[in-house]
Amino acid sequence: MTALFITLALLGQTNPGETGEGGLNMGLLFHTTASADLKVGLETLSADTLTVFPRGYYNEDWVRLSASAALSYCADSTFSNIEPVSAGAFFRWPGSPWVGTGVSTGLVDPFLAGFDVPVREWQSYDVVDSTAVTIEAGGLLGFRGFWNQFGDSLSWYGVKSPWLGFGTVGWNGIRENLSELETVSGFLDLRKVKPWFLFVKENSQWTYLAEIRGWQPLRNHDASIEIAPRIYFEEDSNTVGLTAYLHGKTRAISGSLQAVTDVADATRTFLSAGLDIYSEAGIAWSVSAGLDHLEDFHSTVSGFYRMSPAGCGGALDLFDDSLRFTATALYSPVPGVSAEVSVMSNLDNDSPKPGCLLRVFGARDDFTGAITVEWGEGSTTLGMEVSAWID
Amino acid sequence: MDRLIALSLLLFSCAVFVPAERVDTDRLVFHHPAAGKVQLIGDWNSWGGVTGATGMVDPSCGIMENDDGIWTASPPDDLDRGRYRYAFLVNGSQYFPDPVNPERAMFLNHEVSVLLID
Repeated sequence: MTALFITLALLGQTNPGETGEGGLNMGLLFHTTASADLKVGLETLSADTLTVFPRGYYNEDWVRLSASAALSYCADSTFSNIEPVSAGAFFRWPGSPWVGTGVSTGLVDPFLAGFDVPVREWQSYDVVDSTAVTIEAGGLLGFRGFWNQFGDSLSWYGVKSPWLGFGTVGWNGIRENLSELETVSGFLDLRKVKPWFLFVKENSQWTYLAEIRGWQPLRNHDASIEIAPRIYFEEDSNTVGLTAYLHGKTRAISGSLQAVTDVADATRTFLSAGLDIYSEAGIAWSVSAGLDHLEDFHSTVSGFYRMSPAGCGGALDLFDDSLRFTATALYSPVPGVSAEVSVMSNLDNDSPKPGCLLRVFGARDDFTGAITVEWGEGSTTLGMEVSAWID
Repeated sequence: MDRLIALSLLLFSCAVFVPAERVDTDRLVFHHPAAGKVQLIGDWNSWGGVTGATGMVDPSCGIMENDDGIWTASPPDDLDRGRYRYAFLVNGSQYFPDPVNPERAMFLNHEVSVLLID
């Protein structure tokens, strides 16, 4: 019986890169970069990378097939043979969207979401054997589960509940050799407030994170203010935080004010604030400031007028005693084509470190191209980049 | 053993009758008339492919519709309830957080936004 329930708890991870379109899709993903040192001359222009990804996938309700390969060239090597980059086949139980199994290489990457910082970021694991065997199952009271096995050393698995009417909960884990990481996460819907929770167990040590969302003590036709208290308990420190979010309803305005402190060590206090306003004149204003450990102050103020065909803007970045200034001008002569030039410098007489960046960009359908010229610190670099999806 | 197989078939058959969870999400809007192209990328689409096997942004991924400088797109409507990071990728290189969403996070040293689907 235990084996049965484990089997039912398995659910394959859908590949987030898939488009979900039905039928057969084939094409080439083309990407190349080139650069030159303009101090020496244009004769130094050379291709840094040239990569062609033939790619195809076939999606139906019961089967998903995917394959891509790479033909790549690097400046210090010769053309390589076509190498498989990713491939996979996944089958679903006919008539059920929850039961299936598959095998893939290069399609699945372990990831564990958190609140604003993931518990495990994408590509945290150096997957030596990227061949994954996937099993998924579900339907029992709406629960769904998945298991991805990479070689014999890395496993990624989880179970997610359906909407229970008052909340949802999920359990996820990653096991690599002797290292084990598990999370239990979800939230409750209590109408006025929605407590979110995240419990993390890493190598037998638990940490607990909880946050109350949805509490809006101030609310009117134009805006609302949401207060979100947060607690974070771990073995050697306990942290509490309070964030106020400003949500504009009739105006493009948003903001936040946050205070986070360690209850046992007041020097570990972090304060931050941010405000974004899009004015009726078309200027995007952004102001942010932070105070780390009640000592290290940093702030950014920027304003950009991004209208077509021309725009301009500037930003001031203050970090400790260093103040950096950036001025930007935009020009878009026709839709899909834009040019941007930025001049930046430290407002510090001892080390101004001036620089300049010019970028011309063009896009049409699934094609993008960019030319970049960068001046600064005694060098001038020309860069070119082209990407295209060719059906 | 027979009882186990019969129970397995019974439980698997439940899948036919339990509706899938689907959540409708609002359209996201970004105003940038000077942009040549804006893509909506996030945790749900492998950040346009950056976290995938190719390690590059797919130029066909998450393209937002442009109406006189107002770019709009929706996250997938079948996302599970939870938290997802996302950003507007302008001209294939510049990450912008959602200016009307005050909740922020980081991805690859870029400030991005957090979408709560509840």
